[in-house]
Amino acid sequence: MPTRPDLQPSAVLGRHLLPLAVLVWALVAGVAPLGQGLLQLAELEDRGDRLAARVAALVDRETTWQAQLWRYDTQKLREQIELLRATEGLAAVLVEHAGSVAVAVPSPDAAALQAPQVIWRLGATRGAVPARVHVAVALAPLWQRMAWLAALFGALASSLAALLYWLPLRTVRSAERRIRELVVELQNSKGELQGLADTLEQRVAERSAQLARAAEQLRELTARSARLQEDERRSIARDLHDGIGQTLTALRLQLQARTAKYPVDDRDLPLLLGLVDQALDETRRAVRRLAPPLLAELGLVAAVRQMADALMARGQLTIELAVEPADLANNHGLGAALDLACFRIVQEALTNAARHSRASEVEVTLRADAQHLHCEIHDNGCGFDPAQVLDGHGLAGMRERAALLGGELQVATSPGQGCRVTARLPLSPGTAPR
Amino acid sequence: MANGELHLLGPPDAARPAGGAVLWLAVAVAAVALASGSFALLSRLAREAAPEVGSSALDPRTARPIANQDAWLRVGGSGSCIALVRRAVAACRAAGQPLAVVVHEGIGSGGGLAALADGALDVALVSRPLKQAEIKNDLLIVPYARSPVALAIQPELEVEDLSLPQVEALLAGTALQWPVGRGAGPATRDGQTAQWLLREHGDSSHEVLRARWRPFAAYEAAARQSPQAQVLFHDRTMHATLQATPGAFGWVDAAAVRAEGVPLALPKIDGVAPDSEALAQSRWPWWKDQAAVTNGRSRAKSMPLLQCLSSDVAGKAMFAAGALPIGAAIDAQPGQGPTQGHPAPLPVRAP
Repeated sequence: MPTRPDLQPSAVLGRHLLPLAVLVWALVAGVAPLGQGLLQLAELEDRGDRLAARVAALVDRETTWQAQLWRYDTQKLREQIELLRATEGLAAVLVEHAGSVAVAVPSPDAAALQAPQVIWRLGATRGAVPARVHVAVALAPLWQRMAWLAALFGALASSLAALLYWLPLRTVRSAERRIRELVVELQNSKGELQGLADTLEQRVAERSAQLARAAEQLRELTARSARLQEDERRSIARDLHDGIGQTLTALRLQLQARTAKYPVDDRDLPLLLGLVDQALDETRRAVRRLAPPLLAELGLVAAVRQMADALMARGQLTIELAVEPADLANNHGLGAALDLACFRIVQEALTNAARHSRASEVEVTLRADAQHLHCEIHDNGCGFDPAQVLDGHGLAGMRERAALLGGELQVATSPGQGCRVTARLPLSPGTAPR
Repeated sequence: MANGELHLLGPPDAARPAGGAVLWLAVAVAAVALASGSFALLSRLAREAAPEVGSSALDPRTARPIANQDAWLRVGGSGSCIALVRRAVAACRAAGQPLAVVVHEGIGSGGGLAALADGALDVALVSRPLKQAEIKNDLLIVPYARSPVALAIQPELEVEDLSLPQVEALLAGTALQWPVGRGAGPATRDGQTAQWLLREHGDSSHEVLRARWRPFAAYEAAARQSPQAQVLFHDRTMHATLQATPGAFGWVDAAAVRAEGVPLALPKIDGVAPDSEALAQSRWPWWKDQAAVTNGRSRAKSMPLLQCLSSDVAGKAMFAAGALPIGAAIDAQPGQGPTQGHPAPLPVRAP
């Protein structure tokens, strides 16, 4: 795994910890011995001052007792000072009087008296004999203490600095190794996951294609079924018109001729003629239901307009028909199934409006775009509650017709608000309005 | 994570504040502080150069003259002699002898002789034999008294009598507390820690003891090695310290103690008191002779004092102080000064 040095946590941490460790080392190793040295130096100076004052007091006592003759008894003074020096651990004591060395212990030129092995402190007599007392305090204890402290705190500082630097780094390096292992595992898992995703996408695509093909086939089958159904209906209608209708027409003509030729019973013939006429009317209505004759001959728009005119002729409704585009009326190529489905939906909606809604005006709009044919029937009737009516009023049949063509149908209504039926039917390829 | 890299600490350092630089700055500051402290320490020590003092030793002759050289006889020397001579001079004055004498505090026998040689003194008082280097042809040595060297004890202990073994036990350190066995006085205070107060090594009393009592030197040497050893350098401080230190004892010139009127106990040893009678009867083993020394320059001027010291009046006063008047004026000869066990003891004058 290639990793940039500046992105390695251990490397970054190491760069931050190193100065910190050095700082800790310097402070711990340096401050204690140095501070101790300064403090002890001050203490030694203070001690030297006190001892210089003691020696000066001693000289004062001797010179006071012995007056001028003290000069002849400096040996005894020297012994006293020597005793004091030995007792207090002084390096040397010099008593200076009138520019001469009155007493010097152990000797003024001893090599041990040279700085920095000693510090000199000065005292002065207060009596009649002026003398200066120089006391040399040995620095050996100071150096010794500082050396010990430096060694001790140096070791302590080294340990602390090493721990400060090493422990976090070790922990981070351990975590880093674990993270790298996890990253490798994650990368492996990611590869496997990517493979699974690719496979899944491929399978989904395949399934989607299969579904699309199945939907297309279903649509084609549905359309074909609708076409076959309409063809069958037209065949039945043609059979009814050409068969039963012609037979009933011939029967009526025969009855009329028989009536004129054989006026036997005036009461029965009119009855028979009435029954034949009734059968003819029913046959014609059945033929129109099965296959509206104008739809095949004039097209959807003309058939709808004729149906609307027929309804308005009954005097119940005022129907306005809007067609968009305007030349949709000249288009005979929408497809028989589409024409019939649209016609049947409009027919059912107008029938509902005439029978149930007590509407006075109905607007019928036929509009085609590049993909769909939109049929909208809007009345100003009493409306109804869709939740209660459910699939009544032929709504189920209308939805079924739209669904058979891959379209959809929506009914927007509520009590007192009229009813708007909207069907969106897909145009078959090549049936887009020109 | 991109390309397998871990961004656990955020963007690269270049995009963040330079924390490392701050830490290094702190390190630098600490280093500077430590260096400054070291510099302060070393600079303070560097100032500690050896003092500039004169290379010559002190010459006693640079001192101003003491009092009026012509009018007053200047006397000084061994501290053991001072009190006794002052008492003798007082007795002579009381007897009508006019003496213009200044008796200085003790500067030691050697100091007195040196001052005499320099003309700083007219009479030197010595309590030990003269050393070869101190003997001059024109010296006149006049022994005047023999004083006992005695054990002095802190007076509150009220010890009146000791046996020699008890004394040895004290000196050897085997008797650490008072009273020391039998023989102590009835009012001896029990429980006081015995503490031997020493004089400096050159003290004449201790020299006598070393010379005349062989075990003493070993006891003294051991005592001087002790961390608790206390050494005193003057008779006056010795007397004062003996008075003030509970349980203290030490060896002193008994005549000086009595002459000064110091309230120290001077117990008998084996029933013998350290006084002039014991000396006269040769019952007291440790004693030293005192002598006045003058030279050709000051001999004539010193005669009144020498006559005083040889007089009966002074002898009585010294006898009363526990000293035995001795000797007569003789010319200085090596080894014939005041003696301490010399083959030919000086004649003892009848008190």
